[in-house]
Amino acid sequence: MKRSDEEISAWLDGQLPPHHAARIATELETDDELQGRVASLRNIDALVRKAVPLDDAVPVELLERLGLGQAPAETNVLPLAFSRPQRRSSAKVTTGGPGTGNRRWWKAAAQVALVACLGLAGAAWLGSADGDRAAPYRTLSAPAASQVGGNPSAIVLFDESVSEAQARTIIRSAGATIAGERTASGAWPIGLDPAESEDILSELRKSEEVLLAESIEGG
Amino acid sequence: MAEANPEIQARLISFLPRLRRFCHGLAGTREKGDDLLQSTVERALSRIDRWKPDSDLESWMFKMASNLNIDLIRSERRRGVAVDIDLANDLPCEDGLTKLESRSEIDAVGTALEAMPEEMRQVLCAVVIDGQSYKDTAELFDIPIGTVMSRVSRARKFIERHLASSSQAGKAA
Repeated sequence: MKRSDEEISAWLDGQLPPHHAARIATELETDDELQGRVASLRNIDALVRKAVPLDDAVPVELLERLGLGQAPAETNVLPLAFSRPQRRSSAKVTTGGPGTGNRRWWKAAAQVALVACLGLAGAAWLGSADGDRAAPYRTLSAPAASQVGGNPSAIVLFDESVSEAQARTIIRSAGATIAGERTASGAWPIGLDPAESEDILSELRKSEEVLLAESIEGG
Repeated sequence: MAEANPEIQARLISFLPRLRRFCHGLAGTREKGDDLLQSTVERALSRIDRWKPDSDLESWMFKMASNLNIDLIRSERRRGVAVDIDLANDLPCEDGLTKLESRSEIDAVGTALEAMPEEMRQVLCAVVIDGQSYKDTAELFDIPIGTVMSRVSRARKFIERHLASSSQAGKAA
């Protein structure tokens, strides 16, 4: 009797009723084809487990990112893209501004201030001789770490309650790429496909978590 | 980040390697998996008051990770990178085959996991990677046990075909 893939798969997982499993085990003793199928699927399972290994030791840096442990002082300079301790603040705006419920006020203020900076930076960039595309961004604020991931063509600033992981997810979901480390002021440099840049920026601006999403192209 | 009591934190830390591996499997890469893990832990700690102490913390967090990943997949689908599960038994398209220039079987399996439809991958992660029963997996994803059985079988076949394609591509190169 030819067994279906689903049956063989469930047998491998130990999920068939005992009498059903026993019949397959009996057939396996004499059925070469069945033996071949089982061996192949077992090999796949072994490869899957190797491709996604279980690490019993979770790195200290990761625990710190998760807010579940304290990393040694020297790990304040992390080798990866997570140079800031992660936290989720329940108090979004604690001082300044016209009080609570004024997120939009902050958003508007942030846009005005940063667009003004961008304008000045853009002008400085246009006047520069070397034509470095990243210059406006650098003028706006020095990056927290060395640049990775190519030239940024826009920046995104998130609400302070947004974690690094969430920011990365939102950026990727909108179709942008992360073009470097966050700046000292917390803005993310991102890369955009020129053909879709406006759509992607528009998508980012729809997010309640995004305070600002602006192109930093010099034009 | 919200604070959980030390007992819950200790339980979470002891469970973290499993959750990390599950997130890795769901997200496709270790880097994306760690991002998903972080989002999951943050959300869980911020909503820890919603967890019922008489229920299973691990299952609650597995489900949270899965839901967060589905949110990400859906937002990507809105951008036009949808994968129809009905096509899952088909061989990968040319783009997919191009990506299968992996030099080892493990690399090829990793690539296949990334290319696999989400609905299939999450079941494979629970059953093959985490070793959960079909019944627990069905409860985790709110699907019938028969669907678990079907998806895990199709997931294995999907990988098998990717491996065969990868092997052929390697020989032709």
